[in-house]
Amino acid sequence: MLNSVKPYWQRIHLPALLTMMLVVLSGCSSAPKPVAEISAAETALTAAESEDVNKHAPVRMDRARQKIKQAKVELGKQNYATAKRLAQEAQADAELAKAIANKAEADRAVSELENSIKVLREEIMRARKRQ
Amino acid sequence: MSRIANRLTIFATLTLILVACSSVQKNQALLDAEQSYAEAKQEQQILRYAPAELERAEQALSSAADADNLDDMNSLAYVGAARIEIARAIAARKASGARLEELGEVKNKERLKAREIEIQREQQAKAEALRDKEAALMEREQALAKAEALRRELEELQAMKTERGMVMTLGDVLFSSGKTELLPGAMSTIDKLASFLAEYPEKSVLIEGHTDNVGSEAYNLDLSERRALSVKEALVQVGVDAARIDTLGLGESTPITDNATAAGRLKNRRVEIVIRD
Repeated sequence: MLNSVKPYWQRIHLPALLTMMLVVLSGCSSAPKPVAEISAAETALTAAESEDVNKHAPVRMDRARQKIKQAKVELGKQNYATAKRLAQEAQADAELAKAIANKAEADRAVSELENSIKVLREEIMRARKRQ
Repeated sequence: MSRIANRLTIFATLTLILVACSSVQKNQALLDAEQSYAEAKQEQQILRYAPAELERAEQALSSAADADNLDDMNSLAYVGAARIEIARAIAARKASGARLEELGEVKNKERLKAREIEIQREQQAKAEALRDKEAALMEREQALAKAEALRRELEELQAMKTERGMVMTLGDVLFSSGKTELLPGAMSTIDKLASFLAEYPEKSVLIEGHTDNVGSEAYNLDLSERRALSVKEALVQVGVDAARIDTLGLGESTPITDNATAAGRLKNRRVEIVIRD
């Protein structure tokens, strides 16, 4: 009678523990296919491709291109963890290249405007002297 | 027995999994990235213009800290460091954008100033043109007035218009009889002529002496010459430039009336002053 009844922890806790283990294992075992990461990286690269980027951040942009290329190779080899890392890095590299180029262009616009103001002020000075 | 064994097995497995899964110690790459994040977090420009990107950097770095292997940690630290740089670049770009707006306003103000100066200059030019026009008008009026004044002054000098020009005559009564000295009565005429010549520096005069036919011709010629010179002297004394005065003695050669009567001879004894342009 006593043997026919299973201990309470076996009844209740074994499935729970198994579930826990599964969760933990899945969280730390081999990664899933990084489709979203690759896609995000490609979007970032496409957005970054421009003359300004090639002019102001060519090295960083090239690094992004190399990494997305390598990420796809690793994806093919089912090295998902590596592919994911490369894709994330490629995305960050591409976004950085774009941000650097945008900043450089903004700086250029500022200095152009400053210059034109300087020229205008000089003209005004000359005009005042003539008066 | 089996109860205890089961329990032990489960705990052992869990422990193993936990150990295998637990995060690795932070490496230098991550520590560096965290340092650079801490610095970025102090910068007002980044906090103001790129808080979202900074947040993404923090997420990457905290994932890196939780990574269960070195590859993930390195990669996430790399991504985090890149995101900090992105935040920095975005913030700088937006600050430049704000600066562009400010400068745009500055430029507009300067343009306005330049335009105002231009308008002022145009107005000045117009005013100058008007002044010039008025000046020209005034000059013309002055020239007319001067011509009119000249006419009046000549009238006052009792000058006669002749084919030789304006001619004024100083009669015999202004000289001592048979002598060359001018009498004081002639001085008002001399003064008038001098001030006339001062006012019209372009004019010069020819002073001609004439006599009647009484006495020898040589005597008359000499007398007429000396009387003309005497008038010249008087003019020079009141300030007229001698170079503007020519003299000529004509004696009895050019009477203006008959020498037969005393009245006629009186008229013929005279000095004529011809005003030349």
